[in-house]
Amino acid sequence: MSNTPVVELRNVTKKIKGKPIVQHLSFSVQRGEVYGFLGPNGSGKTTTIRMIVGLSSITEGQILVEGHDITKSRSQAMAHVGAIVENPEMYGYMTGMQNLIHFSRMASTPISKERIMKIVELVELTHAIKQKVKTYSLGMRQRLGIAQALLHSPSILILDEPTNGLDPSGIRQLRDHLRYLAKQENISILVSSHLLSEIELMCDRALVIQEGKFIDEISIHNQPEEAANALSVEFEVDQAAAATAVLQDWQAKTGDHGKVTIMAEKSEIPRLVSLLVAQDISIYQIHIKTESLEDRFLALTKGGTQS
Amino acid sequence: MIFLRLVQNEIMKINSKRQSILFFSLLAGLVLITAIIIKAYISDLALVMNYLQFTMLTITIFGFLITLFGLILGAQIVTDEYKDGTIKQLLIRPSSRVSILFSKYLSVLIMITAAYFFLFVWSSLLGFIFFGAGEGLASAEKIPLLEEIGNLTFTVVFQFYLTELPSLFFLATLSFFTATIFKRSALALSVAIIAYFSGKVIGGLSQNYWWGEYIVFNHLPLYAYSDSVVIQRFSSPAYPELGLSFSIIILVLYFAIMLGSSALVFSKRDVA
Ligand SMILES: Nc1ncnc2c1ncn2[C@@H]1O[C@H](COP(=O)(O)OP(=O)(O)O)[C@@H](O)[C@H]1O
Ligand SMILES: [Mg+2]
Repeated sequence: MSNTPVVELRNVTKKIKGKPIVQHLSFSVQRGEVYGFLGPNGSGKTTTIRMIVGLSSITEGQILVEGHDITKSRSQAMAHVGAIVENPEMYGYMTGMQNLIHFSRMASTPISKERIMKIVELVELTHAIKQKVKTYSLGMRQRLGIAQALLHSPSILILDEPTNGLDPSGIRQLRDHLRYLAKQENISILVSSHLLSEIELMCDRALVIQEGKFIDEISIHNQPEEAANALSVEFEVDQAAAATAVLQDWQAKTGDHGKVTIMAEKSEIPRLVSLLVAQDISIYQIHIKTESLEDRFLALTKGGTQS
Repeated sequence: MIFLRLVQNEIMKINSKRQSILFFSLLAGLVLITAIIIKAYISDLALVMNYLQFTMLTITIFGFLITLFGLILGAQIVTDEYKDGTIKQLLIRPSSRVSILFSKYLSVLIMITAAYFFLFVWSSLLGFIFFGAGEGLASAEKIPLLEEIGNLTFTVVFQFYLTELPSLFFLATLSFFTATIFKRSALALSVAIIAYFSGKVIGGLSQNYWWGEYIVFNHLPLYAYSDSVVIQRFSSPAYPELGLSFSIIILVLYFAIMLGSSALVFSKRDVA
Protein backbone atom coordinates (compact mmCIF):
# COMPACT_ATOMS: atom_id res chain seq x y z
CA MET A 1 0.00 0.00 0.00
CA SER A 2 1.15 3.51 -0.71
CA ASN A 3 2.18 5.96 1.95
CA THR A 4 -0.16 8.75 0.90
CA PRO A 5 -2.46 9.61 3.78
CA VAL A 6 -6.04 8.49 3.29
CA VAL A 7 -7.30 11.93 4.25
CA GLU A 8 -5.24 15.07 4.38
CA LEU A 9 -6.27 18.57 5.41
CA ARG A 10 -3.93 21.36 4.39
CA ASN A 11 -4.35 24.63 6.19
CA VAL A 12 -8.12 24.49 6.06
CA THR A 13 -10.20 27.46 7.13
CA LYS A 14 -13.97 27.81 7.21
CA LYS A 15 -15.69 31.12 7.68
CA ILE A 16 -19.46 31.43 8.00
CA LYS A 17 -20.69 34.96 7.39
CA GLY A 18 -17.19 36.25 7.96
CA LYS A 19 -16.86 34.51 11.32
CA PRO A 20 -14.02 31.98 11.42
CA ILE A 21 -15.32 28.59 12.63
CA VAL A 22 -12.29 26.51 11.69
CA GLN A 23 -8.87 28.08 11.35
CA HIS A 24 -5.75 26.86 9.55
CA LEU A 25 -6.34 23.24 10.40
CA SER A 26 -3.90 20.64 9.04
CA PHE A 27 -3.82 16.94 9.81
CA SER A 28 -3.72 13.62 8.07
CA VAL A 29 -5.18 10.19 8.68
CA GLN A 30 -2.92 7.27 7.81
CA ARG A 31 -4.01 3.99 6.30
CA GLY A 32 -5.54 1.55 8.76
CA GLU A 33 -5.52 3.80 11.82
CA VAL A 34 -8.37 4.91 14.01
CA TYR A 35 -7.93 8.64 14.27
CA GLY A 36 -9.71 10.66 16.90
CA PHE A 37 -11.01 14.17 16.53
CA LEU A 38 -11.42 15.64 19.96
CA GLY A 39 -12.76 18.98 21.07
CA PRO A 40 -15.43 20.46 23.32
CA ASN A 41 -18.90 21.10 21.93
CA GLY A 42 -18.92 23.93 19.43
CA SER A 43 -15.21 23.60 18.68
CA GLY A 44 -15.77 22.96 14.97
CA LYS A 45 -15.62 19.18 14.62
CA THR A 46 -18.84 18.82 12.67
CA THR A 47 -17.98 21.82 10.52
CA THR A 48 -14.64 20.22 9.63
CA ILE A 49 -16.27 16.87 8.85
CA ARG A 50 -18.88 18.59 6.67
CA MET A 51 -16.07 20.06 4.62
CA ILE A 52 -14.32 16.69 4.28
CA VAL A 53 -17.48 14.99 2.97
CA GLY A 54 -18.36 17.86 0.65
CA LEU A 55 -21.46 19.09 2.46
CA SER A 56 -20.04 22.54 2.90
CA SER A 57 -17.57 24.62 0.98
CA ILE A 58 -13.97 25.25 2.05
CA THR A 59 -13.15 28.92 2.56
CA GLU A 60 -9.39 28.43 2.35
CA GLY A 61 -7.02 25.51 2.10
CA GLN A 62 -7.29 22.10 0.54
CA ILE A 63 -8.65 18.67 1.44
CA LEU A 64 -7.39 15.50 -0.21
CA VAL A 65 -8.94 12.04 -0.03
CA GLU A 66 -6.70 9.31 -1.42
CA GLY A 67 -4.77 12.10 -3.10
CA HIS A 68 -7.84 13.55 -4.87
CA ASP A 69 -8.68 17.17 -4.18
CA ILE A 70 -12.30 17.07 -3.01
CA THR A 71 -13.25 20.28 -4.79
CA LYS A 72 -11.52 19.50 -8.07
CA SER A 73 -12.16 15.75 -8.31
CA ARG A 74 -15.13 15.36 -6.06
CA SER A 75 -16.42 12.17 -7.64
CA GLN A 76 -13.11 10.26 -7.30
CA ALA A 77 -12.59 11.53 -3.77
CA MET A 78 -16.10 10.67 -2.55
CA ALA A 79 -15.88 7.16 -3.98
CA HIS A 80 -13.46 6.43 -1.10
CA VAL A 81 -15.50 8.04 1.67
CA GLY A 82 -18.13 6.45 3.88
CA ALA A 83 -19.65 8.65 6.55
CA ILE A 84 -22.33 9.36 9.08
CA VAL A 85 -22.55 13.08 9.77
CA GLU A 86 -24.15 13.66 13.16
CA ASN A 87 -27.21 11.38 13.44
CA PRO A 88 -27.61 8.22 11.36
CA GLU A 89 -30.60 9.51 9.37
CA MET A 90 -32.22 6.94 7.12
CA TYR A 91 -35.52 6.63 5.28
CA GLY A 92 -37.84 5.44 8.04
CA TYR A 93 -40.63 4.53 5.63
CA MET A 94 -38.45 1.96 3.86
CA THR A 95 -36.95 -1.26 5.15
CA GLY A 96 -33.32 -1.54 6.16
CA MET A 97 -32.69 -3.50 2.98
CA GLN A 98 -34.37 -0.88 0.77
CA ASN A 99 -32.22 1.77 2.40
CA LEU A 100 -29.08 -0.20 1.64
CA ILE A 101 -30.17 -0.87 -1.94
CA HIS A 102 -30.84 2.85 -2.29
CA PHE A 103 -27.33 3.79 -1.17
CA SER A 104 -25.69 0.97 -3.10
CA ARG A 105 -27.16 2.41 -6.30
CA MET A 106 -25.36 5.67 -5.60
CA ALA A 107 -21.92 4.06 -5.57
CA SER A 108 -19.63 4.66 -8.52
CA THR A 109 -19.11 0.93 -9.06
CA PRO A 110 -21.93 -1.61 -8.87
CA ILE A 111 -22.41 -3.38 -5.54
CA SER A 112 -23.55 -6.98 -5.51
CA LYS A 113 -26.38 -8.44 -3.40
CA GLU A 114 -23.78 -10.68 -1.76
CA ARG A 115 -21.77 -7.66 -0.68
CA ILE A 116 -24.88 -6.08 0.84
CA MET A 117 -25.70 -9.28 2.72
CA LYS A 118 -22.14 -9.59 3.95
CA ILE A 119 -22.22 -6.08 5.39
CA VAL A 120 -25.63 -6.69 6.96
CA GLU A 121 -24.15 -9.69 8.70
CA LEU A 122 -21.10 -7.73 9.74
CA VAL A 123 -23.23 -5.13 11.55
CA GLU A 124 -25.51 -7.83 12.92
CA LEU A 125 -28.76 -6.65 11.39
CA THR A 126 -29.72 -9.79 9.48
CA HIS A 127 -32.76 -10.41 11.69
CA ALA A 128 -34.21 -6.90 11.21
CA ILE A 129 -33.20 -6.02 7.69
CA LYS A 130 -36.70 -6.57 6.25
CA GLN A 131 -38.33 -4.29 8.83
CA LYS A 132 -39.10 -0.62 8.27
CA VAL A 133 -36.36 1.54 9.66
CA LYS A 134 -38.82 3.61 11.72
CA THR A 135 -39.15 0.56 13.99
CA TYR A 136 -35.39 0.44 14.67
CA SER A 137 -33.75 1.39 17.96
CA LEU A 138 -31.05 4.05 17.92
CA GLY A 139 -28.35 1.40 18.17
CA MET A 140 -29.81 -0.43 15.16
CA ARG A 141 -30.01 2.77 13.18
CA GLN A 142 -26.42 3.45 14.09
CA ARG A 143 -25.42 0.04 12.74
CA LEU A 144 -27.48 0.52 9.60
CA GLY A 145 -25.73 3.85 9.20
CA ILE A 146 -22.39 2.12 9.46
CA ALA A 147 -23.56 -0.50 6.95
CA GLN A 148 -24.49 2.11 4.35
CA ALA A 149 -21.17 3.82 4.92
CA LEU A 150 -19.26 0.58 4.33
CA LEU A 151 -21.15 -0.78 1.31
CA HIS A 152 -18.78 0.58 -1.31
CA SER A 153 -15.62 -0.49 0.57
CA PRO A 154 -14.39 3.02 1.33
CA SER A 155 -10.85 3.60 2.51
CA ILE A 156 -12.05 6.02 5.18
CA LEU A 157 -15.03 5.76 7.47
CA ILE A 158 -15.99 9.07 9.06
CA LEU A 159 -18.19 9.06 12.15
CA ASP A 160 -19.28 12.26 13.85
CA GLU A 161 -19.94 11.71 17.56
CA PRO A 162 -21.13 8.14 16.92
CA THR A 163 -21.75 7.43 20.61
CA ASN A 164 -24.22 10.28 21.09
CA GLY A 165 -27.39 8.93 22.61
CA LEU A 166 -26.07 5.40 23.09
CA ASP A 167 -26.05 3.82 26.54
CA PRO A 168 -22.75 2.52 27.98
CA SER A 169 -23.25 -1.00 26.68
CA GLY A 170 -24.16 0.41 23.25
CA ILE A 171 -20.98 2.45 23.33
CA ARG A 172 -18.91 -0.59 24.22
CA GLN A 173 -20.52 -2.57 21.39
CA LEU A 174 -19.90 0.22 18.92
CA ARG A 175 -16.29 0.53 19.97
CA ASP A 176 -15.66 -3.20 19.59
CA HIS A 177 -17.43 -3.09 16.26
CA LEU A 178 -15.29 -0.28 14.95
CA ARG A 179 -12.08 -1.95 16.02
CA TYR A 180 -13.24 -5.17 14.39
CA LEU A 181 -14.29 -3.36 11.21
CA ALA A 182 -11.02 -1.49 10.97
CA LYS A 183 -9.30 -4.88 10.88
CA GLN A 184 -11.85 -6.79 8.77
CA GLU A 185 -12.32 -4.12 6.14
CA ASN A 186 -8.82 -2.71 6.43
CA ILE A 187 -10.00 0.88 6.51
CA SER A 188 -9.08 4.02 8.35
CA ILE A 189 -11.61 5.51 10.72
CA LEU A 190 -11.98 9.16 11.66
CA VAL A 191 -14.14 9.51 14.72
CA SER A 192 -15.05 12.72 16.50
CA SER A 193 -16.09 13.12 20.10
CA HIS A 194 -16.18 15.68 22.87
CA LEU A 195 -15.39 12.96 25.39
CA LEU A 196 -11.78 12.07 25.88
CA SER A 197 -12.62 8.73 27.50
CA GLU A 198 -14.21 7.55 24.25
CA ILE A 199 -11.37 8.72 22.07
CA GLU A 200 -8.98 7.04 24.46
CA LEU A 201 -10.81 3.74 24.08
CA MET A 202 -11.22 3.80 20.33
CA CYS A 203 -8.31 5.60 18.75
CA ASP A 204 -4.64 5.23 17.96
CA ARG A 205 -4.02 8.93 17.57
CA ALA A 206 -6.13 11.98 18.10
CA LEU A 207 -6.25 15.60 17.13
CA VAL A 208 -7.32 18.06 19.78
CA ILE A 209 -9.01 21.27 18.66
CA GLN A 210 -10.61 24.16 20.45
CA GLU A 211 -12.46 27.10 18.96
CA GLY A 212 -11.63 25.76 15.53
CA LYS A 213 -7.89 25.82 16.15
CA PHE A 214 -5.28 23.10 16.38
CA ILE A 215 -4.23 22.49 19.98
CA ASP A 216 -2.31 19.23 19.91
CA GLU A 217 -2.01 15.86 18.27
CA ILE A 218 -1.74 13.04 20.75
CA SER A 219 -0.62 9.44 20.38
CA ILE A 220 -2.78 7.37 22.66
CA HIS A 221 -1.10 4.02 22.92
CA ASN A 222 2.34 5.55 23.42
CA GLN A 223 1.11 7.48 26.40
CA PRO A 224 2.28 5.19 29.27
CA GLU A 225 5.77 4.79 27.75
CA GLU A 226 6.20 8.51 27.21
CA ALA A 227 5.35 9.19 30.80
CA ALA A 228 7.62 6.39 32.07
CA ASN A 229 10.64 8.53 32.84
CA ALA A 230 8.77 11.32 34.60
CA LEU A 231 6.39 9.65 37.03
CA SER A 232 4.64 11.63 39.64
CA VAL A 233 4.78 9.61 42.90
CA GLU A 234 2.71 10.35 45.95
CA PHE A 235 3.82 9.19 49.43
CA GLU A 236 1.55 9.17 52.43
CA VAL A 237 3.72 9.46 55.58
CA ASP A 238 3.44 10.40 59.24
CA GLN A 239 5.88 13.35 59.03
CA ALA A 240 5.27 15.17 55.76
CA ALA A 241 7.67 18.03 56.45
CA ALA A 242 10.57 15.73 57.27
CA ALA A 243 9.88 13.58 54.21
CA THR A 244 9.81 16.67 52.00
CA ALA A 245 13.24 17.64 53.30
CA VAL A 246 14.64 14.16 52.64
CA LEU A 247 13.25 14.07 49.11
CA GLN A 248 13.98 17.64 48.10
CA ASP A 249 16.27 16.50 45.26
CA TRP A 250 13.17 14.96 43.67
CA GLN A 251 11.16 18.20 43.64
CA ALA A 252 9.17 17.16 46.67
CA LYS A 253 5.96 19.08 47.40
CA THR A 254 4.02 18.83 50.65
CA GLY A 255 0.33 18.19 50.32
CA ASP A 256 -2.58 17.75 52.77
CA HIS A 257 -2.96 14.83 55.16
CA GLY A 258 0.71 13.84 55.22
CA LYS A 259 1.00 13.57 51.45
CA VAL A 260 4.24 14.34 49.63
CA THR A 261 4.45 14.35 45.86
CA ILE A 262 7.73 13.95 44.01
CA MET A 263 8.93 13.34 40.46
CA ALA A 264 10.98 10.18 40.07
CA GLU A 265 11.59 7.17 37.87
CA LYS A 266 9.95 3.93 38.82
CA SER A 267 13.30 2.20 39.43
CA GLU A 268 14.21 4.80 42.06
CA ILE A 269 11.22 4.11 44.30
CA PRO A 270 12.82 1.31 46.44
CA ARG A 271 15.79 3.60 47.18
CA LEU A 272 13.49 6.46 48.18
CA VAL A 273 11.63 4.12 50.52
CA SER A 274 14.94 3.12 52.18
CA LEU A 275 15.87 6.82 52.60
CA LEU A 276 12.60 7.59 54.36
CA VAL A 277 12.75 4.48 56.53
CA ALA A 278 16.32 5.39 57.51
CA GLN A 279 14.93 8.69 58.90
CA ASP A 280 12.29 6.82 60.91
CA ILE A 281 9.50 8.14 58.75
CA SER A 282 6.56 5.72 58.54
CA ILE A 283 5.08 5.12 55.08
CA TYR A 284 1.38 4.29 54.87
CA GLN A 285 0.92 4.34 51.13
CA ILE A 286 2.79 4.92 47.86
CA HIS A 287 0.81 5.87 44.78
CA ILE A 288 2.06 6.38 41.23
CA LYS A 289 0.04 9.11 39.60
CA THR A 290 0.20 8.45 35.85
CA GLU A 291 -0.89 11.72 34.38
CA SER A 292 -4.13 10.72 32.72
CA LEU A 293 -5.09 11.77 29.25
CA GLU A 294 -8.06 13.43 30.86
CA ASP A 295 -5.72 15.75 32.77
CA ARG A 296 -3.79 16.50 29.63
CA PHE A 297 -6.94 17.16 27.66
CA LEU A 298 -8.26 19.49 30.34
CA ALA A 299 -4.89 21.21 30.57
CA LEU A 300 -4.70 21.56 26.81
CA THR A 301 -8.17 23.01 26.45
CA LYS A 302 -7.80 25.04 29.64
CA GLY A 303 -10.63 23.25 31.33
CA GLY A 304 -12.72 23.14 28.19
CA THR A 305 -15.38 25.68 27.36
CA GLN A 306 -18.84 24.23 27.76
CA SER A 307 -18.22 20.53 27.17
CA MET B 1 -25.77 4.83 -16.12
CA ILE B 2 -25.62 6.18 -12.59
CA PHE B 3 -28.18 8.90 -13.36
CA LEU B 4 -30.83 6.31 -14.17
CA ARG B 5 -30.06 4.56 -10.90
CA LEU B 6 -30.64 7.86 -9.11
CA VAL B 7 -34.03 8.19 -10.82
CA GLN B 8 -34.82 4.61 -9.84
CA ASN B 9 -34.04 5.53 -6.23
CA GLU B 10 -36.28 8.57 -6.26
CA ILE B 11 -39.18 6.62 -7.70
CA MET B 12 -38.66 3.89 -5.11
CA LYS B 13 -38.82 6.52 -2.35
CA ILE B 14 -41.95 8.18 -3.77
CA ASN B 15 -43.72 4.86 -4.07
CA SER B 16 -42.72 3.70 -0.59
CA LYS B 17 -44.46 6.68 1.00
CA ARG B 18 -47.94 6.18 2.28
CA GLN B 19 -49.26 9.26 0.50
CA SER B 20 -48.45 7.84 -2.95
CA ILE B 21 -50.17 4.55 -2.25
CA LEU B 22 -53.10 6.51 -0.84
CA PHE B 23 -53.27 8.75 -3.90
CA PHE B 24 -53.34 5.93 -6.42
CA SER B 25 -55.91 4.00 -4.40
CA LEU B 26 -58.07 7.10 -4.07
CA LEU B 27 -57.89 7.79 -7.80
CA ALA B 28 -58.74 4.20 -8.64
CA GLY B 29 -61.61 4.17 -6.15
CA LEU B 30 -63.11 7.45 -7.35
CA VAL B 31 -63.13 6.34 -10.97
CA LEU B 32 -64.81 3.10 -9.99
CA ILE B 33 -67.45 4.95 -7.95
CA THR B 34 -68.09 7.34 -10.84
CA ALA B 35 -68.67 4.41 -13.18
CA ILE B 36 -71.02 2.76 -10.72
CA ILE B 37 -73.00 5.94 -10.10
CA ILE B 38 -73.46 6.61 -13.81
CA LYS B 39 -74.43 3.03 -14.50
CA ALA B 40 -76.85 2.79 -11.59
CA TYR B 41 -78.39 6.24 -11.32
CA ILE B 42 -77.86 8.13 -14.59
CA SER B 43 -79.11 5.49 -16.94
CA ASP B 44 -79.86 8.00 -19.75
CA LEU B 45 -76.19 8.83 -19.87
CA ALA B 46 -75.08 5.26 -19.38
CA LEU B 47 -77.07 4.18 -22.41
CA VAL B 48 -75.42 6.59 -24.83
CA MET B 49 -71.91 6.50 -23.36
CA ASN B 50 -68.97 4.39 -24.44
CA TYR B 51 -65.54 3.89 -22.84
CA LEU B 52 -63.99 6.85 -24.65
CA GLN B 53 -66.51 9.32 -23.33
CA PHE B 54 -66.11 7.86 -19.88
CA THR B 55 -62.35 8.31 -20.09
CA MET B 56 -62.84 11.95 -21.19
CA LEU B 57 -65.18 12.47 -18.29
CA THR B 58 -62.82 11.12 -15.62
CA ILE B 59 -59.95 13.35 -16.58
CA THR B 60 -62.24 16.35 -16.59
CA ILE B 61 -63.43 15.52 -13.10
CA PHE B 62 -60.26 14.12 -11.51
CA GLY B 63 -57.49 15.88 -13.41
CA PHE B 64 -57.13 18.36 -10.54
CA LEU B 65 -56.22 15.49 -8.19
CA ILE B 66 -53.27 14.61 -10.38
CA THR B 67 -52.33 18.29 -10.46
CA LEU B 68 -52.40 18.41 -6.69
CA PHE B 69 -50.36 15.20 -6.45
CA GLY B 70 -47.78 16.60 -8.88
CA LEU B 71 -47.49 19.88 -6.99
CA ILE B 72 -47.08 18.09 -3.66
CA LEU B 73 -44.39 15.84 -5.13
CA GLY B 74 -42.57 18.83 -6.57
CA ALA B 75 -42.75 20.64 -3.24
CA GLN B 76 -41.64 17.67 -1.16
CA ILE B 77 -39.08 15.76 -3.14
CA VAL B 78 -36.23 18.04 -2.09
CA THR B 79 -37.59 19.49 1.16
CA ASP B 80 -38.38 16.07 2.67
CA GLU B 81 -34.70 15.16 2.44
CA TYR B 82 -33.86 18.30 4.42
CA LYS B 83 -36.66 17.64 6.89
CA ASP B 84 -35.54 14.04 7.52
CA GLY B 85 -31.84 14.95 7.49
CA THR B 86 -31.25 12.38 4.75
CA ILE B 87 -30.02 15.14 2.43
CA LYS B 88 -26.59 14.63 4.02
CA GLN B 89 -26.64 10.96 3.09
CA LEU B 90 -27.42 11.88 -0.51
CA LEU B 91 -24.81 14.56 -0.98
CA ILE B 92 -21.76 12.69 0.33
CA ARG B 93 -21.77 10.36 -2.70
CA PRO B 94 -19.81 10.50 -5.92
CA SER B 95 -22.78 11.89 -7.89
CA SER B 96 -22.76 15.64 -8.38
CA ARG B 97 -25.40 17.71 -6.67
CA VAL B 98 -26.81 18.80 -10.01
CA SER B 99 -27.39 15.22 -11.13
CA ILE B 100 -29.06 14.40 -7.81
CA LEU B 101 -31.33 17.43 -8.18
CA PHE B 102 -32.26 16.60 -11.77
CA SER B 103 -32.89 12.95 -10.93
CA LYS B 104 -35.45 14.23 -8.44
CA TYR B 105 -36.99 16.59 -10.97
CA LEU B 106 -37.21 13.94 -13.65
CA SER B 107 -38.82 11.55 -11.16
CA VAL B 108 -41.57 14.08 -10.45
CA LEU B 109 -42.32 14.40 -14.17
CA ILE B 110 -42.28 10.62 -14.56
CA MET B 111 -44.70 10.18 -11.66
CA ILE B 112 -47.08 12.81 -13.05
CA THR B 113 -47.03 11.14 -16.44
CA ALA B 114 -47.52 7.76 -14.79
CA ALA B 115 -50.52 9.08 -12.88
CA TYR B 116 -52.14 10.28 -16.11
CA PHE B 117 -51.35 7.02 -17.80
CA PHE B 118 -52.84 5.16 -14.86
CA LEU B 119 -56.02 7.25 -14.99
CA PHE B 120 -56.25 6.74 -18.74
CA VAL B 121 -55.80 2.98 -18.64
CA TRP B 122 -57.97 2.43 -15.56
CA SER B 123 -60.78 4.64 -16.91
CA SER B 124 -60.69 2.97 -20.31
CA LEU B 125 -60.80 -0.43 -18.68
CA LEU B 126 -63.70 0.39 -16.36
CA GLY B 127 -65.40 2.33 -19.16
CA PHE B 128 -65.17 -0.71 -21.38
CA ILE B 129 -66.55 -3.01 -18.69
CA PHE B 130 -69.40 -0.69 -17.70
CA PHE B 131 -70.27 1.03 -20.98
CA GLY B 132 -68.67 -1.00 -23.75
CA ALA B 133 -67.14 0.21 -26.99
CA GLY B 134 -70.37 0.90 -28.82
CA GLU B 135 -71.63 3.93 -30.71
CA GLY B 136 -71.97 6.12 -27.65
CA LEU B 137 -73.20 9.64 -28.20
CA ALA B 138 -72.61 9.48 -31.96
CA SER B 139 -76.30 9.63 -32.61
CA ALA B 140 -76.69 12.79 -30.53
CA GLU B 141 -77.71 16.16 -31.97
CA LYS B 142 -75.66 17.66 -34.72
CA ILE B 143 -74.12 20.44 -32.65
CA PRO B 144 -70.43 20.73 -33.69
CA LEU B 145 -68.92 20.11 -30.24
CA LEU B 146 -71.32 17.35 -29.31
CA GLU B 147 -70.77 15.81 -32.64
CA GLU B 148 -67.09 15.62 -32.04
CA ILE B 149 -67.53 14.30 -28.55
CA GLY B 150 -69.92 11.78 -30.00
CA ASN B 151 -67.38 10.70 -32.56
CA LEU B 152 -64.47 10.58 -30.13
CA THR B 153 -61.63 8.42 -31.28
CA PHE B 154 -59.03 6.74 -29.17
CA THR B 155 -56.38 9.07 -30.60
CA VAL B 156 -58.30 12.21 -29.67
CA VAL B 157 -58.83 11.04 -26.10
CA PHE B 158 -55.19 10.07 -25.78
CA GLN B 159 -54.11 13.46 -27.11
CA PHE B 160 -56.48 15.14 -24.71
CA TYR B 161 -54.62 13.44 -21.86
CA LEU B 162 -51.21 14.28 -23.30
CA THR B 163 -52.06 17.94 -23.77
CA GLU B 164 -52.82 18.26 -20.07
CA LEU B 165 -49.15 17.62 -19.36
CA PRO B 166 -47.39 20.88 -20.35
CA SER B 167 -49.34 23.08 -17.90
CA LEU B 168 -48.96 20.53 -15.17
CA PHE B 169 -45.25 20.15 -15.84
CA PHE B 170 -44.96 23.92 -15.59
CA LEU B 171 -46.78 24.10 -12.25
CA ALA B 172 -44.81 21.16 -10.84
CA THR B 173 -41.59 22.82 -11.97
CA LEU B 174 -42.68 26.05 -10.28
CA SER B 175 -43.36 24.11 -7.09
CA PHE B 176 -40.06 22.24 -7.32
CA PHE B 177 -38.14 25.46 -7.99
CA THR B 178 -39.71 27.36 -5.09
CA ALA B 179 -39.16 24.43 -2.73
CA THR B 180 -35.51 24.03 -3.75
CA ILE B 181 -34.72 27.71 -3.40
CA PHE B 182 -36.53 28.35 -0.11
CA LYS B 183 -36.51 24.85 1.41
CA ARG B 184 -40.18 25.38 2.38
CA SER B 185 -42.66 22.87 1.02
CA ALA B 186 -45.74 24.75 2.27
CA LEU B 187 -44.62 27.93 0.54
CA ALA B 188 -43.87 26.03 -2.67
CA LEU B 189 -47.25 24.36 -2.66
CA SER B 190 -49.02 27.67 -2.03
CA VAL B 191 -47.19 29.45 -4.83
CA ALA B 192 -48.00 26.65 -7.28
CA ILE B 193 -51.66 26.44 -6.26
CA ILE B 194 -52.06 30.20 -6.54
CA ALA B 195 -50.51 30.02 -10.00
CA TYR B 196 -52.88 27.16 -10.84
CA PHE B 197 -55.98 29.12 -9.91
CA SER B 198 -55.00 32.62 -10.97
CA GLY B 199 -52.84 31.85 -14.00
CA LYS B 200 -55.62 32.56 -16.50
CA VAL B 201 -56.57 35.82 -14.79
CA ILE B 202 -52.99 37.04 -14.55
CA GLY B 203 -52.50 36.12 -18.20
CA GLY B 204 -55.69 37.90 -19.23
CA LEU B 205 -54.82 41.10 -17.36
CA SER B 206 -51.29 41.16 -18.71
CA GLN B 207 -52.59 41.11 -22.24
CA ASN B 208 -53.42 44.81 -21.81
CA TYR B 209 -49.72 45.61 -21.72
CA TRP B 210 -46.88 45.20 -24.19
CA TRP B 211 -45.14 42.65 -21.95
CA GLY B 212 -48.17 40.39 -21.87
CA GLU B 213 -46.71 38.34 -24.67
CA TYR B 214 -43.83 37.31 -22.38
CA ILE B 215 -46.10 36.10 -19.62
CA VAL B 216 -46.01 32.31 -19.41
CA PHE B 217 -49.72 31.95 -18.63
CA ASN B 218 -50.59 33.33 -22.06
CA HIS B 219 -48.66 30.50 -23.67
CA LEU B 220 -49.32 27.58 -21.36
CA PRO B 221 -52.49 26.31 -23.01
CA LEU B 222 -50.59 24.88 -25.95
CA TYR B 223 -53.69 22.84 -26.76
CA ALA B 224 -55.32 26.07 -27.91
CA TYR B 225 -53.38 25.66 -31.15
CA SER B 226 -55.06 22.31 -31.85
CA ASP B 227 -57.47 21.84 -34.74
CA SER B 228 -59.72 19.61 -32.69
CA VAL B 229 -62.56 21.34 -30.87
CA VAL B 230 -62.29 18.81 -28.07
CA ILE B 231 -58.58 19.23 -27.51
CA GLN B 232 -58.85 23.04 -27.66
CA ARG B 233 -61.11 22.98 -24.60
CA PHE B 234 -62.96 26.09 -25.86
CA SER B 235 -59.82 28.19 -25.79
CA SER B 236 -57.91 30.02 -28.46
CA PRO B 237 -54.29 31.20 -28.43
CA ALA B 238 -53.75 34.52 -26.63
CA TYR B 239 -51.41 35.73 -29.38
CA PRO B 240 -52.35 33.74 -32.47
CA GLU B 241 -50.08 35.91 -34.65
CA LEU B 242 -46.98 34.87 -32.61
CA GLY B 243 -47.61 31.21 -33.27
CA LEU B 244 -46.96 27.88 -31.60
CA SER B 245 -43.19 28.05 -31.87
CA PHE B 246 -43.09 31.39 -30.03
CA SER B 247 -45.20 29.93 -27.23
CA ILE B 248 -42.85 26.95 -27.01
CA ILE B 249 -39.81 29.22 -26.84
CA ILE B 250 -41.38 31.21 -23.99
CA LEU B 251 -42.16 27.99 -22.11
CA VAL B 252 -38.65 26.64 -22.62
CA LEU B 253 -37.24 29.93 -21.32
CA TYR B 254 -39.33 29.81 -18.15
CA PHE B 255 -38.37 26.18 -17.53
CA ALA B 256 -34.69 26.91 -18.15
CA ILE B 257 -34.65 29.86 -15.76
CA MET B 258 -36.39 27.93 -12.98
CA LEU B 259 -34.27 24.81 -13.37
CA GLY B 260 -31.04 26.73 -13.90
CA SER B 261 -31.45 28.80 -10.76
CA SER B 262 -32.53 25.75 -8.74
CA ALA B 263 -29.39 23.92 -9.82
CA LEU B 264 -27.20 26.93 -9.08
CA VAL B 265 -28.58 27.43 -5.57
CA PHE B 266 -28.68 23.72 -4.76
CA SER B 267 -25.12 23.06 -5.83
CA LYS B 268 -23.64 26.05 -4.00
CA ARG B 269 -25.49 25.84 -0.71
CA ASP B 270 -23.81 24.53 2.44
CA VAL B 271 -25.78 21.72 4.03
CA ALA B 272 -26.06 21.98 7.78
N1 LIG C 1 -24.39 27.45 9.80
C1 LIG C 1 -23.78 28.06 10.83
N2 LIG C 1 -23.91 29.39 11.00
C2 LIG C 1 -23.29 30.03 12.03
N3 LIG C 1 -22.52 29.42 12.93
C3 LIG C 1 -22.35 28.10 12.83
C4 LIG C 1 -22.97 27.35 11.77
N4 LIG C 1 -22.61 26.06 11.90
C5 LIG C 1 -21.82 26.00 13.00
N5 LIG C 1 -21.66 27.22 13.55
C6 LIG C 1 -20.86 27.53 14.74
O1 LIG C 1 -19.60 26.95 14.57
C7 LIG C 1 -19.11 26.45 15.79
C8 LIG C 1 -18.67 25.02 15.62
O2 LIG C 1 -19.78 24.21 15.44
P1 LIG C 1 -19.64 22.65 15.20
O3 LIG C 1 -18.74 22.41 14.05
O4 LIG C 1 -21.00 22.09 15.10
O5 LIG C 1 -18.94 22.17 16.54
P2 LIG C 1 -18.81 20.71 17.16
O6 LIG C 1 -19.24 19.72 16.13
O7 LIG C 1 -17.36 20.58 17.49
O8 LIG C 1 -19.66 20.67 18.36
C9 LIG C 1 -20.21 26.64 16.81
O9 LIG C 1 -19.89 27.76 17.58
C10 LIG C 1 -21.43 26.90 15.98
O10 LIG C 1 -22.30 27.77 16.64
MG1 LIG D 1 -20.78 18.27 16.30
